[in-house]
Order: sequence, then structure tokens, then C-alpha cells
Amino acid sequence: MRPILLQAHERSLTKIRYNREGDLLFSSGKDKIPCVWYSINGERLGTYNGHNGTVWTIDVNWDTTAFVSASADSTVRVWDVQTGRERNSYTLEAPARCCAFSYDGNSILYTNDDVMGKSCEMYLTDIRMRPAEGPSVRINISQLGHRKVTSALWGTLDQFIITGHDNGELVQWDIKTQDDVRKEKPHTAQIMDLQTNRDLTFLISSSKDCTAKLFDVETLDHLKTYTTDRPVNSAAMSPIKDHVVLGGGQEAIEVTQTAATTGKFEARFFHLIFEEEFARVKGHFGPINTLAFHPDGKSYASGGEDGFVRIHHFDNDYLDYDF
Amino acid sequence: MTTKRDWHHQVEHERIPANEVHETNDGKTIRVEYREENGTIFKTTKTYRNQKLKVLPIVAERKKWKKFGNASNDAPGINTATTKVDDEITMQFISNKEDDKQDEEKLIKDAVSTLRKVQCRLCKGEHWTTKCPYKDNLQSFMEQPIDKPTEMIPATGNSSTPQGQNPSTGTPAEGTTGKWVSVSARRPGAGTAYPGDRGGSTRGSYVGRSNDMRKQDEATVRVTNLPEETQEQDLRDLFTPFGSVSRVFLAKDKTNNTSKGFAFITFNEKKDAQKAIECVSGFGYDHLILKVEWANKPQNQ
Repeated sequence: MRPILLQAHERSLTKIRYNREGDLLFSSGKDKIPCVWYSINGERLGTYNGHNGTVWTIDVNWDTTAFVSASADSTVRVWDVQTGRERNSYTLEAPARCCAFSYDGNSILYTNDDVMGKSCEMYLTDIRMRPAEGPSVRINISQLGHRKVTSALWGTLDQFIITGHDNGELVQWDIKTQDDVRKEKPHTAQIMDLQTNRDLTFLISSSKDCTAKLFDVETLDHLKTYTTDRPVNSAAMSPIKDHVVLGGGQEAIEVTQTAATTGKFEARFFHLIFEEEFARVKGHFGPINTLAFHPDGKSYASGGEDGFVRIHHFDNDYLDYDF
Repeated sequence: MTTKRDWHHQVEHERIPANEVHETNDGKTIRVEYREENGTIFKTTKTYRNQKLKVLPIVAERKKWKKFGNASNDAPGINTATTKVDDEITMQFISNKEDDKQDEEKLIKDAVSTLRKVQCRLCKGEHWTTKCPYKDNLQSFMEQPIDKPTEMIPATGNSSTPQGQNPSTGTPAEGTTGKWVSVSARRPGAGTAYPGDRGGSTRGSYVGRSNDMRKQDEATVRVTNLPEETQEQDLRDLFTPFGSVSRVFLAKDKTNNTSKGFAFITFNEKKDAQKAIECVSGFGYDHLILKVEWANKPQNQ
């Protein structure tokens, strides 16, 4: 395969996301400008200009009309996807870390970091309301004895939220009672990324402790473990096959001390059930920070510490591959 | 600053041809771009494949969206400043097939080693004769000439099979282990045995191969440095004087059907092949000097 190289970000990538149909690919990096691309040919559609700091997380709603980004400039902004105009801006007291659209696309959740003497908090807001009205739900996570949230997403039917924390903890929150109903600690180090499969039944977590783990979304039962020899920054599940792709590499701080050949920056494909690695794809010359599968399962994209996004359209040797 | 440029600038500018875009019949767009750098003009030809896809109406609608933000000045289509196609990479599959192969090899190895079990000449135990615990007791007894011939057969057959020279008799000779030995393993001497077999590395494919197939391989010569116009018939004419030729293979280019410059000639007899090598090697043929050698380099010599 010949990957398409997207090189609009001046700094490392933090998150890439496909929309529901998979025709658009959104990317954000430590430079302040999230981008949107046509995934089929890598043509850049536009950029969302306005943030004044690293954009940590982005998300797009189900009908690709609104786009949300959480930035270290302590704002969470909702944008119009088609024009790139800012719709709403929510200002926090500390740098924002996570944001996610609910399944219906009306609510967003966002969190902030526990820095500058502030505690880590999670907010829920209806984007149809004015930002001045304030969040509809505000949960002080630090007060409830949890560490900083590093990754968060909505659970099945928007009934609960799952957060990953920087000590490897996984927490399920009931939205109505605003309570942490389930607490697990499957990882020994920071959870870098949480992703679900297409029908929101499985959850895959990637952690700095060199493993990615598969859970049941509702019960948080641990099902599978994918072990590598490097921190896992992101893991995605194939929508059409029982495959999982893991991306990682040693930490950014150590990258300059090792050669690219020994850096282990490949994307690694594991079988979902047998937990066995069966393929690798090389390409990035820095750790992979974020991975996403195209909703049709025939391509995937990866964003790396090197500032590149690579879209890989699979060859038939993968699509015909039977484990 | 004058708004009007000097005439020589205009002339210079006219030297650079305008960019061209044209479409080919097989659905490709070819863009030819010219640019000047340090006085030299560079021509860049880019070929794009046009693809028509059936997509959801909403996706088609989104494809028509106007570009915005930092991309608002981009022309329709790919902006090469932000999007590039990288070098071909392959997915490296890590399969268990190699392990399977190794297991198979190990099995064959084990089978071979059981066939050639070490056998003591004195007590028939599974150890070397020199390590025999009854060596001192039995050696004097063995030195008597009566027993010697029968006992020597398995001794020489230490590395090959203990079976007799004639496999058609089927009855195991006296003094062998009495184990069943496969037909392929009943190969008489070391002369025809394949070197790979003896070395213990498994050449499983040879076991199943028929004898004349091997003979054919042995009687094949490779001819190199052939002229391009060579035909198979020419080679036949050239080599039949040395003996009957069973097969001629001339490597040809697929596209223009000319010779690639080498061929394989299989004789019925090995000695004919030998003769051909001696005579034709170095023979001047149509302005080129031919080189003839064994197709399989004889490894056992």
C-alpha cells in the first residue's frame, strides 16, 4: 500500500477521528489548529482557527455538523464543521483535556486538568444552550478521590460515561446520580486512550504500562489483554474483522536517544480474540500517538509524534487475510 | 517600484511554458507543471487516477463543500504542500507458518536419525562400539574371523541404512535391526544419495522425487551469453550432435519474445551433457562466445 501523508501539523498529533460515514478525517495536534481532511484522497478541506494552545482532544457529532475541541488554552470550543466558524466557547479554570459528543450529538462532556491549584472536574453541557448558562452537570473528580482524567467517552445509550485516569484507573459514571458506579484499576500506568467498537459494546484502553485491554462497556469486565514491549498510546478495533491495531513507541522524551529502526514505531495488528500479533506496518519515525479505523474497515489512519498523519488503504493481502 | 516589468522579464517569463492539464482515455489526469529555479526550468508531470465512487448522498454533498480556514486558498483537488503520497510500504505479516515449517523439518530430522541409529558392533546396543561396556569381554571373541563378515555390514552402514544392496528381495539381511525401512531410504550407496540428506538437513522434496527426474537434473546444462535472436531450434541444431536432447528451455522476454540470453538443455545421458560442455563452452556463436556449464552445480563433488 502507498500511505497518504498529511503534513499540515507543525507539532505532534494528539488525536485523529473519522466522522460516522468515514469520508472526513479530523486531526488535532499540539499546534493550535485542528484540520479536517477528505479521507479518500487526503485533500485538506479546512482548518478550525481560534485556539491558542495545544488541542488535546477532538470529537465530531453523528451527523457531522458540529465539531468540538478541548484545548490547553482552557477553552472547549464547538465549531461548525462545514464553515469552520466557532459556534460556542466554554472557558474553564484550567487546561481542558477531554471532550466528547454524546450519541445524540446534543450534549458534550469535557474535563479539565488538575493543575494550577484546581481540581480535575468533569462537565456536561447541552450545546443548544448558551455557554453563559453554565454546565448542566459538574462533577469534581479530584474530590471523589480519583486522579486526573486522561480520556473520557460516553457509554451505551448516553446513560453513563467512562473515564480513564492517569494512574490506570477506569471509572464508570452514572449521569443521573453523578456517581462513580464502577471502579476498576486494570492498568498500572496512565491510560492514554479509550475507544469503543462500532456498536458500543466493547471498550479498548491503551496504557503506558505497555498493554491494551479489552472490556465490556457496561460491566467493565476485563476480557482480553494485548501485550507489547512499549507504551501503547492508542488502540483501535476494526469494524469488519476481529482485529485490533495498537500504536505506540517509547516516550517522546526518549525518542532522540534511539535510532528510528529500534524505536519500535510500527503499528501492530493483533487478533481480537487470540490476543496474538499477526502483522506490522512501519512508517512513522516517532511514536504513534493516535489511531483510528475507517468505519468501513478498509483503511486506517495514524497520527504520530513526528507531526504526520498517514492514511493507509489496505491491500488485498490484508483484506483477504484469515487468521 | 514600477508596475510594468522590463521587457526581458517578459521574455524570460515566456520561456516557461504554461501548465498543462489533460485527461487520458483510461481515466487519468495528467498535470504538467513548469517552474524555474536558478535559471533552469523544471518540468513536473503528475498523473492522477480519476475514480468515480458511489457514495451516500450526504457524503457526495460534503465533497462539494467550499474549503475554509487555512485551506481556503487551495485549488480544488490535492494541495501538494499538505498532502503527499508516500513510498510503497508492505504490511509485514508475522505468521506461524515458519514455525510449522520448522516443526516439520524437526520431524523429518528425527525420522532420519532413528533410521540411522548408532549401533554397537559388539553387543548391538545403541551406543558407539568404543563406548561399549562389554568391550573388554567381547572384543577377543569378536576378533575370531568367523563372525566378522556378518557383523561388518551394519558397521559400514552406520551412516546409511543397514538394509542390503538389493531392495527387491525385501527380506532384511541377518544382523540388521529388523526395522522397516522406507523405499526412499533403501537407496544403495552414498553416490546417488543427495548431499543434503547426508548432512542431516532435510531435503524432504527429494525423497518423493522419482529417480529419472534426478537424472534429468543431472544431465542439464546451462548455456549463457546467447545472442538475442536465438531460437529453440537453433539450440537443438547446436546440441543434438552430442547426444539426444530431451528438452530445450530458452528464456524469453515476455513482451517482445526475444531471447534473454540463456537456456537450459537437458540431455538423456549425463555423459552427452559432459561432452557438450567440453565442446561448446567457449564456442563462438554469432559474434558471441557461449558459456556452457552444469545447470546444477554438482555439490557432492
